[in-house]
Amino acid sequence: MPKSASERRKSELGEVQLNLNPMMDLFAVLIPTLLMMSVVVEVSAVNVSAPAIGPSDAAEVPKEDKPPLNYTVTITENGYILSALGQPLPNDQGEPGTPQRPTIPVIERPTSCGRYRGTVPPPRAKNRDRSICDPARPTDTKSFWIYDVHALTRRTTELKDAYPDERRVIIAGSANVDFEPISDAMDATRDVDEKGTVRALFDEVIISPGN
Amino acid sequence: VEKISKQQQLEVDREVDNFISALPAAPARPEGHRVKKKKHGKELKAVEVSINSLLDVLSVILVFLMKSYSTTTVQVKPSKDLQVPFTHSAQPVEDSTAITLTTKNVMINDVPVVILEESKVGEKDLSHAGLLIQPLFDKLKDEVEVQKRIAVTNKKAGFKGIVSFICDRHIPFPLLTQAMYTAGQAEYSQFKFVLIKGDRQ
Repeated sequence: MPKSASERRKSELGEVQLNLNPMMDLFAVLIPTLLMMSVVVEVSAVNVSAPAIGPSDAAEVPKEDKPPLNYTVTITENGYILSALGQPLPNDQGEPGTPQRPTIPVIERPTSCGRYRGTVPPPRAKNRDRSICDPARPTDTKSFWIYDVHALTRRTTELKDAYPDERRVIIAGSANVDFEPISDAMDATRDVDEKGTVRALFDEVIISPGN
Repeated sequence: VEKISKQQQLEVDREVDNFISALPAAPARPEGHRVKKKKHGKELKAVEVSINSLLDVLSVILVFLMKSYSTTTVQVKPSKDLQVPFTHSAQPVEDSTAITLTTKNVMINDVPVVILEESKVGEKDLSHAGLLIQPLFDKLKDEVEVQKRIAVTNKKAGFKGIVSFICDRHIPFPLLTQAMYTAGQAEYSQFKFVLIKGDRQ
């Protein structure tokens, strides 16, 4: 078959080939470097205020006639003790919350292992005798003692309805509590999803050293 | 048989060399071309390996990686000692000094400053009635000094007093309050927790 004019020209002049090897070398260095430096997990920030050591300024001088709410969530091994206006809020039995009988006690419930791979959910002291979540099986569901964050959100929403101008929550913890229930409590009191609409609750968090 | 002298032999050799050098040079084989040897008496065509498609793939990967590359100084690198809890907050992380509290040590910007014993600070490292972690305080003061010195020449990089805490889920609450108190004493006034973005519980 006779060659076309362009093919003849090409064969006469010789095909010019771009040398891509240096570019390949560059890519081979850049890609592993970027892979090593890339962030694997997506993170978010949560604003908090400094721990209140000694008497708190917020609790002292009320700006208006209304006394400050001083909504406090104290996290213990047995659950959440809520207090407002300096008084502990009652639990389901109508009694004021105490460390032994907190306002919202921990509950035993089947829990998904997705969040707790290789560990157990808080309160960990109560779940010490339970087997840990297998990291290779995040879809497992096991029975654990857990903090009732939904009840905390519900009680916080009721309080927000009564005091819509208040934004401050004090989160305290006992010495044997670890960090995870603190961050969960901050999430549960900050906002609520009401049928697809996010409503802000108490979004100014003060961490208090507690007792 | 006429014998030829050594001199004549050399002349003949020189002429042959000149003739060969005068011949047009064979075309250089381009890179990536391989001429296969005769197989079963047939001459096979040159095989060219095209790297263009590979280059396309690498270009796409490179662009994706450069886009996802984070320039923030606060980065979470989960490990056995640093299992960060989840949050449904969507607030972005700002550039700040990062204090990492793992079950084994306390770090500032990924540099260990305090070694923990069973997730607790040793008595010798504590002051202010057990509230201030002295080695952490010293390093934070150095960090503040460095940031203030940079701020003298670069107004945009001024000292904002923001500190981000990256905490393991198991660290005890007293360690957190000690670290926060220490940061407060070292002129940091804005505190942030850095958590892994997750779904609402």
